[in-house]
Amino acid sequence: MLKRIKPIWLLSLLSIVYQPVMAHQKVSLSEKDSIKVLAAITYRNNQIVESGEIWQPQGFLVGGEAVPAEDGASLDDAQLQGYMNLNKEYYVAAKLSAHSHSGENSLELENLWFGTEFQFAQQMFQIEAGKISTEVTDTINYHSSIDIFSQAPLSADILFGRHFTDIGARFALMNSIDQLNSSYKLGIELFSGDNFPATSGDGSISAFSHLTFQSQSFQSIAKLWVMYAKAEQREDVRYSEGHSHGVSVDNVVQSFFTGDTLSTGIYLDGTWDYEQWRFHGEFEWIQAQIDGQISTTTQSAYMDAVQSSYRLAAFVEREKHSLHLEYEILSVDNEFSHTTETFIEQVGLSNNGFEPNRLSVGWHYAFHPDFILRTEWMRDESNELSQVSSIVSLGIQWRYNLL
Amino acid sequence: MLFRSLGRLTLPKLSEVDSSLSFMFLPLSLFVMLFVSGCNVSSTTTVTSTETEQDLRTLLDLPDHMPLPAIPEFNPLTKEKITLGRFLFYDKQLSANQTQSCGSCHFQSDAFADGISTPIGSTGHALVRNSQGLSNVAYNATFTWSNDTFFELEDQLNVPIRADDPIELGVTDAELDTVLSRFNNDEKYQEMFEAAFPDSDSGATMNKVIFSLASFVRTMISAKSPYDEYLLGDKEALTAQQKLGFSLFNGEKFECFHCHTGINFTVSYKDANTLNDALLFPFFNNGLYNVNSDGSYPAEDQGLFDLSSDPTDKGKFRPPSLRNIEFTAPYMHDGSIGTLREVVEHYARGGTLTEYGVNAGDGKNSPYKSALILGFSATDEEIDAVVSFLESLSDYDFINNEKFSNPHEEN
Repeated sequence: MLKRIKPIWLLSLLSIVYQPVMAHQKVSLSEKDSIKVLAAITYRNNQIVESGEIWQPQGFLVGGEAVPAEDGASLDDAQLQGYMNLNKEYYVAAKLSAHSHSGENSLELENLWFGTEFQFAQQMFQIEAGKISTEVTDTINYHSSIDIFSQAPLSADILFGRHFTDIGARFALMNSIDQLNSSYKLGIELFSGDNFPATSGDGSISAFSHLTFQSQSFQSIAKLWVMYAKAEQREDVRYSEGHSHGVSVDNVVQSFFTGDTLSTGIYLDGTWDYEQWRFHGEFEWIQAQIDGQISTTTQSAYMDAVQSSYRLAAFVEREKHSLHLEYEILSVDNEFSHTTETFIEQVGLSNNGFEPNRLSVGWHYAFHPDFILRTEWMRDESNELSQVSSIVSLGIQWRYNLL
Repeated sequence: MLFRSLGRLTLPKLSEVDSSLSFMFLPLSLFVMLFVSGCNVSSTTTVTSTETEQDLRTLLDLPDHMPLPAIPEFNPLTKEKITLGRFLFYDKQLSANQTQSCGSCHFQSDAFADGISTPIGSTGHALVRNSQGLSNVAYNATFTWSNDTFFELEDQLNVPIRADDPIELGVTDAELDTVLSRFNNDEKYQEMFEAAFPDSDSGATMNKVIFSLASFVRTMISAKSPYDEYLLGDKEALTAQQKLGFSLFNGEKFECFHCHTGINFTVSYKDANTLNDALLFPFFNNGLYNVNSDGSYPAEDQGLFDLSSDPTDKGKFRPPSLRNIEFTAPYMHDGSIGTLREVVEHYARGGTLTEYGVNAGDGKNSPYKSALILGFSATDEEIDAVVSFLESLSDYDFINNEKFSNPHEEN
């Protein structure tokens, strides 16, 4: 339980420190052409679920690309990012990504989008369209080669199927408030619905507000967002499409979700630079309100659920070394009608008293300008109560600017 | 530990940071503290039901793990109709010549099948289809072996009672008044009809007979087999062989589950929560025949084709529930396969070969055979395991339960 983390004053500390080590691929019209290569390779001594078993935290609907990493060595993620500024009129950016599981590799054009910025009524606006990521929160744009830990946050995996990418458009208002040393970005996004929890063609829409405050050595970001997604006969295809991850589909109870998901999120962070030290802390709360029907080939049930995730993270950095900490806990309040408890258990949605949680600790050593040695220890209790996995991993992050 | 280490670091006093920090720091800190301390991070799952649903469960004596069957609004379930239906089910006065009742072809000991390939009607007509077991028919999406227009038991019951070709109970238009008068002249039936239909004073009618029979048959819920115990958490309720069989049954090699899935082991399923647009009305050609090598079935019964005249419907029949399948031999729509093992062997071969006679042909090569019937190689042990699993669906409580027995034989 979250209440176990004491003393509570730590939360205050966490709220004032931090800044993402490396931003996700966000671009603007002021940048120069660039091509970057990023990769992450990790060796793990253990895995969350045994090979051939399905990872589905009890009580939660899961989908997208939310499959846990396997033990042994794996190419977690490789990316080729490109950005081209066309006469400062507009830009085009793209991301080609690859990852491997159980010896299977997949290559995907994850993002390809166009954008431009313009001033209107003394306000700065940005328009982007194409296959884009969401900007509501970076947490759901997870990639091992960019993020702190080698495995995605539980909240990203469970609530959004890991990394968000979809055909869509974004319209944002950006400005700064010099008197308050602040800047803000307000935006809306419209997506086709290819990304979990939506289904293709049924769409999702989001609105976000980001506020950044900077004062001397302190910086803080606050984000507030909401996203509505609609799904029609959504299936959990994690183990049946593209790659099976060693799981036999015979073991999957095939169920479908039809309904709406309203997600809300609050993100707060703070980063404080002091001499050679940097302190960072962040807190994130995401809640998904789910209203719909869950069905199998024969039976069905009405579902009214609230899934909540809480994530606390912090790091301390000095020169080439940094120490990272992250704790996550999720809870679900599921209510079903027109069904039986047995059916709910069969589709994996029964959960009384189990809160998936994970504690991760990592040490990063940037031993070369292009390389970071990443060591981690993770205590995971996300699949079912008392099924605790302790995972030690060692890996490399590589980032190189080709252009 | 890590937090303690952090605490030992020499941090500057907050006052040393730009005073404008309070712009973000104080409200954010307060917010986080209040938010987190006010959160109740605990998971719960509840399954709610209305009072009406609970009453219906009680009336049906429905085990908790069974979904609520769909009861048509035009025939709400009552205890009185169930009682009347039970008496009528076993009463030979319901046939024109008073030689047969529903119970003549639906024996409780056989899970309400009759143990023979095809039955004989009350006037001696040979019927062409095997008597189906009645376990859990309340969950059927459609009724009879092959009719995509019978959505309710009330539709189906007209056939055995009223049809004249072939005759089963033989209550044709000419015999209707005679049959109904038997019940109208019986004091006990008068009371039961009045109790079952208190808003009507018209005495016995065929609609009332059918509505009562449908109500009784809907109570025939079978859910106390070893499989049910296993489903409810008793992992020892199935033997190791049955567990292997269950795994094979649900695997892509045997493919049984594609047609025999869910709580009632058939994809032809509906319950009280099934939306109309989600209803499936599946009918399959399983390769039992391939007469003249053109996909035909024996002329006397070509399945859905006899209603639709669409050649691709030749040999299409509804996949029955496998509940109590051990008790309902012989199998298939015409009772042409005698044992469960032979049924599994039929599917393993990918169809049945009829070597001689007017129906000669290899069902394996039928052009209309379901794409799910591909055939597979299986060891004797695997077939035995699947058969053993099917036997775990046997519910001895169901075939011995007095509430389904013949009330006319009670002391």
